[in-house]
Amino acid sequence: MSQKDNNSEDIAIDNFTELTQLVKSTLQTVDELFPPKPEFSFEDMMIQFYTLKSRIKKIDPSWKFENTDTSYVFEILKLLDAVNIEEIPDLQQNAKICQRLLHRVRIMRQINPSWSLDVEGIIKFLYPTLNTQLS
Amino acid sequence: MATNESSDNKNQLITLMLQTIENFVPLETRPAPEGMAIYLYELKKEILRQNPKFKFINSYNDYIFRILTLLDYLDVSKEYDTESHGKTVHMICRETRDIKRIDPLWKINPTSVIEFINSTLSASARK
Repeated sequence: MSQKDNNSEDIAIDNFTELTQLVKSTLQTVDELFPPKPEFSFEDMMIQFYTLKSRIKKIDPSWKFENTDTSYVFEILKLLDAVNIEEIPDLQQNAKICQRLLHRVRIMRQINPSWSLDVEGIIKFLYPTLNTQLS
Repeated sequence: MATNESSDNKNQLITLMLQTIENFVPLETRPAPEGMAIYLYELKKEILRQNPKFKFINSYNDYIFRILTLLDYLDVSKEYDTESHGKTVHMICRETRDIKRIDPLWKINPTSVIEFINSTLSASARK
């Protein structure tokens, strides 16, 4: 690997670290919105969000907090919540939900034929919330 | 221990349910929607038997997804504009206030959210 390649790799890693830090700061800023801090005005908050996001976009102009995959996961989970489990289930409604699920999978596979659902990532992400619920 | 076992079992059921969706395509191997509907019904019934309050999208996950969408709405391609920017920030504030009213101690875990975003991205990138 040439010196030039090494340098560009270092820059890429630095950018990724900075991007992660900026996304983290943005989410922390969201979390600190409530209860409101008296020393922090609404204008201050707006400027802070604007500054953080501008810096994120400068590093990666195509960055999205919610990418196609996450929004797809959200849709799937919502549909699974809609599955009717009453003693006498509405099978017609459930079959419609399955068709909508199938439709979404088909779209994702059209975009990327080898696309797969990151089941492990979803479970890992869901668990802290499940624990909160149980407590 | 019993809680851990129940949690593991539930985890397996959720995994099974998600894997079922995952296996919907290729089309030639998937069962008819009616057959799939019965299978999902059985799985979900078992999950809810173990935790009647379980939701795939609970208030906290719903909040996270809403916030991610709202953060994407923030338009930084133009000059800073108090009016348009303010509306989105105001919605973010309102969502955060509502979730903290459910549980004042609940906090966003930025690391876990970033891991989730990255895992979906890297899952796509692996293909």
